[in-house]
Amino acid sequence: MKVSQARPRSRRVLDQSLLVLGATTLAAGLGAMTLAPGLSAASSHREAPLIAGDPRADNTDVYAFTSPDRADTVTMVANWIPMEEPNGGPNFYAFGDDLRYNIKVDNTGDGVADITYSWRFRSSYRDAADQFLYNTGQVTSLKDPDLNFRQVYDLVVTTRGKSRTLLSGVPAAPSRTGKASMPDYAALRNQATLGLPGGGKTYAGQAEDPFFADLRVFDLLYGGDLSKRGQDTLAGYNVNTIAIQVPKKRLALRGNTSRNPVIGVWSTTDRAGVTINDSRDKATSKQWKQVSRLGNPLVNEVVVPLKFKDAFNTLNPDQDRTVQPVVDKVYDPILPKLIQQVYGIPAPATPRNDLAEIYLTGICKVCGPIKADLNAHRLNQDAALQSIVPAEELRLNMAVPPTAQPKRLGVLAGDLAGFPNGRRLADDVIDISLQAVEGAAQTGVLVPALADGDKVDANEVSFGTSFPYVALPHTKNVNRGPAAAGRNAEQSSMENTAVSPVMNTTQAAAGAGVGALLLGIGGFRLRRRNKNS
Amino acid sequence: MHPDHHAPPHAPPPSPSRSSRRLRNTAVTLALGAAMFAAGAVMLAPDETTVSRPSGQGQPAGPSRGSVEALQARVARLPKDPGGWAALGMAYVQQARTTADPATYERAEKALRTSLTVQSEGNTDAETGMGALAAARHDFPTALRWARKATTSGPYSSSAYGVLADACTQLGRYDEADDAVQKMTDLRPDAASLARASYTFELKGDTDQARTLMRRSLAAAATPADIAFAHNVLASLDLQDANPRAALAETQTGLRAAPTDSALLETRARAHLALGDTTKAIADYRAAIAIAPLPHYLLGLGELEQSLGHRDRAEEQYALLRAQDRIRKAAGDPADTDAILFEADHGNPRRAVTMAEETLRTRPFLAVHDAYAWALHRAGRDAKALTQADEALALGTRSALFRYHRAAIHHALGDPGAARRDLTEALREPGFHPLHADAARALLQRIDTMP
Repeated sequence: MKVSQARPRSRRVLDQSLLVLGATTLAAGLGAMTLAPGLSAASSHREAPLIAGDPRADNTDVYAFTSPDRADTVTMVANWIPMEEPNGGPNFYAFGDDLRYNIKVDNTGDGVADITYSWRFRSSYRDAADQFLYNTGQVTSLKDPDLNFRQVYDLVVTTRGKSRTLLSGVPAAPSRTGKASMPDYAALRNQATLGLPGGGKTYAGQAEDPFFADLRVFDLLYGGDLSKRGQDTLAGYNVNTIAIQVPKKRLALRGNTSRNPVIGVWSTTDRAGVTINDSRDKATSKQWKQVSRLGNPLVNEVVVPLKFKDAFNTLNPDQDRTVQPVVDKVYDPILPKLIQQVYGIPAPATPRNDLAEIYLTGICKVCGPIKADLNAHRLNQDAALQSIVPAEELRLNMAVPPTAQPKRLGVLAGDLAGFPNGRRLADDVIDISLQAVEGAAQTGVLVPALADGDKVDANEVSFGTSFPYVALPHTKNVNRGPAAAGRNAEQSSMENTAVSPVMNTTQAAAGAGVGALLLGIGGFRLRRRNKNS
Repeated sequence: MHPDHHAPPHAPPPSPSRSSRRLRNTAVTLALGAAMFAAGAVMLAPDETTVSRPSGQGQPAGPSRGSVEALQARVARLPKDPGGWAALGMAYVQQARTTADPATYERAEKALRTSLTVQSEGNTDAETGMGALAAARHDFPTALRWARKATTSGPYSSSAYGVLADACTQLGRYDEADDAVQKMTDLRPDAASLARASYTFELKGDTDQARTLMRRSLAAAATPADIAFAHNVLASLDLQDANPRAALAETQTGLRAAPTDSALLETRARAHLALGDTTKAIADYRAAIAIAPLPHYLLGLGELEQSLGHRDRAEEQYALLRAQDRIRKAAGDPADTDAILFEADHGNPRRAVTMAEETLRTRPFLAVHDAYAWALHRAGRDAKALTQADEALALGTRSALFRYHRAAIHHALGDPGAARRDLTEALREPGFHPLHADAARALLQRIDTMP
């Protein structure tokens, strides 16, 4: 590769002359240019982009929890398109028509989906000829003629290779374009919340981003300054959300929730592939390729080296164990070493069988050092032991009843209905993950120096108490200048009705093995009051 | 997972106004991936989401994630983070593409070398960046070496295979390029890989398939730069298919997403030209050149002015081209095809032959074979020119200019039948060149009237 040896001064003159000189000032420019390095580089070879942003395929979070108001069902929520500015016009945010959005469930533990829910969207403009606006007036219903851009979707469920269309051509809720255009978004959401044949419901549309964290915590860990935590980096932003609530028996192995209460959940995004070397029909054939995958939160940050994020995104969980560097880093993660380096908190001894338990097998007494039977597929009595493989999935024991007073630190705080047993919207996964990576799940003792975590303990708005639980989208742009004060997501109009969170616990309490759970919970003392309610 | 959304480093330039909050947020989000592990250029994420930003809604505050400014801030804070340096280097490479500012290449190299100093082994992102940089500088053998390194250290990196595909294409290793594109799309069918898949079909002359795939690339594109690129290629395909109206519409849609994209302006100039509106064509050429004075824009405008009889104005562009070529020569870089064609048509054909021979040694791409063929023809060496012209069209590429070049060679060799076939094919795009299109029509008429 040639490195230019030209003098900076000439180069500067060249830049200026080439970039701003018109032909009329040509003579002045020429002298300088002859001294400067080559410009021929940037033409006549097709320089296509190399690094494509792909937010519509970018799966940011997945949640799975026993529905607090309907304990015989599980709700799964997955989000795409990060950092949606509420003020995102004129086109706002849409699911990709070229993508397939999936939520997958593994109830046998072999790392392969036994049940896959797939959403495929189609976009249209009511008046494509004369209008490019998202909406042309106030939108009071999904059928409102003023809603110019609209998306409908098909929902297909695939079990054991057989696909069945559950819903066809049903509407997704639009992006919330603002209070003037959509004064009652809750009404639109209700219209986009649809029942499923055989029980359950689904919602697809915009929502407030339920993730809350000061993402700077990682930066500061690196920079060695813990004094400035506490700002929710995600506050004020929206996401596109897909939520589904299904009866537990539809998810459990053999439909038997009491014998087989554990499921693994992850979400993926697929886009059609291409066949380069073949005939023209084949080149457009739909061969889906997975471009995004998400199970446990923060796996890429806490465990998987970013270098292998690409690999991770393409793999099915049953292939995880075939990518040795990823597996190695579960057993020997970088983060605790970094924390030791910066803060002197000793990294737990390796190999980290406790982390392998949390991320790869689920927690059970025979699975590893965490002495509890919580959410490993091995706890499913009808699961074939020899086919269970280590695989990164968000595992949920559906037999654990919803908690009346959820604790943000979930299992670490003795609240067994929270992460890493599934993941609820209000679980403080950054703090939990930091503690887990420091060995707290194994020792049963929180690491005091990190007890405050990122100092963001709750979402900036509260969650709903009924499906889809996520909050209504924000309408105020995040960047409103320095005078910006409290952001509220106009939750008052939500139709969610509060229900007793303690209902329906009897069925769940019958779950095998859960009563025997022992996690050394007594050792935990939360330093601050729990802000989640 | 939130922290590592994919971010292209070619986000639009930040506005001068910035809110500290946004600045902090974006910097922080960016920093996250980097802070903990070796983050990569290919893994950083865009702040820009689905579509073009609204106008008139106040300035977006602070540098957007993935922007050069955000990445500069990141490496200033985390100087030992190889991923940050790699991302910054790649951002400069992307920026250099659109600004044609040679100093940007040096900044790119410096950032990438720093990344490789911090992490010399298995630094896939920096290796990919070095490959992309070499390709941008048209040093394709070097690009190939870095790409092989990157695909070895990062076998799941779609971007690494993208660099490999680009290098193989330009080195005339089309089958290997196809394999690399196949691998790239298998790993991740996104806007970047679908664009390359489209190009493999375009090179084979299958414009329908190329268009289908570029439409898919457009559907997957999220940043203004990626959207602009897809619209530009689609418009070029429309021009190839003699549909300048469609090309005009396509460029206008693209320019709504990226109003200062010089490539779109140049393509719109050619669409205007094909529709006979030379005033608008000249205006667009000038606008494109004001953004980035790339040789093929200068050549396009110069030859357009010449075709209109504006000899002086044409000469202004030609003088710039000559100056650029002197710079190139002083730096010891091989000539680009525009320079070879310019030298063949407006300078010394024998020198053009020498330039083409030099270039061909490190870049045996079909466009170079075509330029070589034309230079040989202009130098009177038509027998050798014909083998080169055949080489240029060996894949079945649909190019009116290549066809015209070969037609003239056939004609010089006394084969009017072959010349006629090529001319007919070339003139399927009636306005393919400001000077040669008329010449093609005249030659065809001569063949038809004087058998």
